[in-house]
Amino acid sequence: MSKMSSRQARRMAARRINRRSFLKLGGVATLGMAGLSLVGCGGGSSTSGGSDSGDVTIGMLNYEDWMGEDEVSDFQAESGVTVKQYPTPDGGDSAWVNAVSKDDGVYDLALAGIIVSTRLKNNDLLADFDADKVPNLKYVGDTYIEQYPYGIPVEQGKVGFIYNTDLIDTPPATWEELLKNSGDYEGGIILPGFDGDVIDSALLALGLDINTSSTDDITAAKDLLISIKSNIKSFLDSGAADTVADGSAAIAVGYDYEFASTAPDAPNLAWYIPDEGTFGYLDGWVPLAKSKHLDEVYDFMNFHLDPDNYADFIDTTAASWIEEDIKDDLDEEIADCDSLQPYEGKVTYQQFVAGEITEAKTEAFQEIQNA
Amino acid sequence: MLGMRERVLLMVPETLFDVLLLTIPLCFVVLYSFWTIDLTTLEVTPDFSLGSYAAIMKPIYLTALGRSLLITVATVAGTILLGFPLAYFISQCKGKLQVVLLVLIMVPFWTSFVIRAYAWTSLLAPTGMVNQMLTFLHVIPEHTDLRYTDTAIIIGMVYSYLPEMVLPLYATLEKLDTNLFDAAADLGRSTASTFFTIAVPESKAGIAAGCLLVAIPALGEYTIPAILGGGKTLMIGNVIASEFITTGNYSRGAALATMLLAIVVMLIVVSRIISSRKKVA
Repeated sequence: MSKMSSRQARRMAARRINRRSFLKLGGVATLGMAGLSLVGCGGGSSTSGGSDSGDVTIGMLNYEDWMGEDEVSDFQAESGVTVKQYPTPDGGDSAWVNAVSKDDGVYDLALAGIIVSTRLKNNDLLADFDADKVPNLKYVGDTYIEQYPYGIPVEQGKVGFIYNTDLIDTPPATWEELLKNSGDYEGGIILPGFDGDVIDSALLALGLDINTSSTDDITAAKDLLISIKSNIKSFLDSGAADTVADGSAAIAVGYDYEFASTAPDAPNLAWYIPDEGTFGYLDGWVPLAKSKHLDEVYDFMNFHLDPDNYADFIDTTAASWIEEDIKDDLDEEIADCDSLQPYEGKVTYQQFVAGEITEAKTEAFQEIQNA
Repeated sequence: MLGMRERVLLMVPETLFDVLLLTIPLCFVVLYSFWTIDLTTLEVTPDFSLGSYAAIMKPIYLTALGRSLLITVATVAGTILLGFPLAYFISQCKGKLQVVLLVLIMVPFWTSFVIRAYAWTSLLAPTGMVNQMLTFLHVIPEHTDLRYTDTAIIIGMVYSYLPEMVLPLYATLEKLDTNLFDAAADLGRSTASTFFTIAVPESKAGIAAGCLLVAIPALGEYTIPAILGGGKTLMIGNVIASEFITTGNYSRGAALATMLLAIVVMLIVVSRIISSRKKVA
């Protein structure tokens, strides 16, 4: 989650400026962004935070509106507990850790990916998670529970090959094929604009572990990417799917949510998960060490994972879900969207290995940019 | 007439504002550059160390800095070339037309900087308006993609910083004694000759102010290279952003920011020295 903050901000921007809200806003100011970020596979309007009327109020550090449309109000009606949401800070992982560490007990739980959760754990900022207090965790796939021991996993994001079917008949089957044949694709290939993602793409192409602790592996990945840099059209953190759809590039490595937002208006776009699998992030909710309302936090977590409420969450956020059984309850365009399927077992999640490894990946990406 | 006491009192709010929101934060940036950070826990230890400065003396950072300087020079040159005739024209207009033109210069400020940068990705796309016009004029071959290049970065930066050049130039040109132009015309000077022999030399202060207003933010720019450069060009602003946001290495980020700050301060001091010497001469 090295760049989660900016990535998440863009992801949310992509969803927030969806067709419905665009019509609501009707704003000239959003016109420039509209072409980049109209949302297709689902999306939805926002929810509000709770009022202060309950006996107990729990505070949650959360992406703005990253909640089921009626979830907070329904939980309050059912339990009498008010949930007050606070926006996550800008400024990356460190800002996240700082926000929690400087908190005086306002936050009881937080949305956090694996990497931030690990950093919070390293700083003793997490409460020990008691899975027995969240019975609805049984609806979540085992893979996600194993990968996210800090709290409840709630959604994921993964990269895949987004390609233009007018320009490519059969997509590359593997990461190695994509990078080895990168010179064959008209306009060049597009890679994600996040350093970890760029290096991880090359690590997979070399048959290496994306969560390697070896700087030699990272150097090998960097060398591979420098050798094909002339075939890389750009490193984009948004707009990759649009660029492929308009034919400026034949193929991109892009996130599921970006494909989901563009594909409904671009019938020439297709999504493919490489044979050896892909990588991504897993977000979840974690209980915080300073919380004085852990019982209410667990109640809210359990409420969130109830299939009906969880489906509401996915319908609202158009995220890639992790409860297999809710598919029939989802909006059709989300349920049928290729990229948002769970692909359980095919996604390796990015972990926090060590601060030095994060920095090594950043420096490797800078050297690629500089080459 | 205000007395000394009243004058000092009037200065208090602005001084407080400057100290609280500018000086103290800048001092923290400099302090952080000498402190150490544990990249695993992100804990900062206030032990004096030059480690971050040693770490930034790598060729990659110096190359990024050099590239940023070159792109800044190109941006400043571009804004002067486009901005000077524009400012001159506006200064020669009268009444409502002049007001309308000035408003048009400032209108882009009312929309987000990021949205304006993204708008250029559409304009510079193979099917974009700019490309189609250049293709029509046979300047570039058909289906050329101007996005994700250094040229795109410079175009985006010239566009974004043009008002910062036009406004100080206009302010200077507007104060020029128009009798000088009339005299030049009476003496048989052409408009072009008048422009180069009177308008340009007489507006050096405006040019200098415009250059500083454009160069300072351009040197640390990271949004436009990320959007229009497609992340393929490394500028010093991108490196600083990465250190703070991605790795959380505040110390190294602060050392890079301090180095950039020192360069900017040096630029300002040099320009002040040059202008004061000219005044003396």
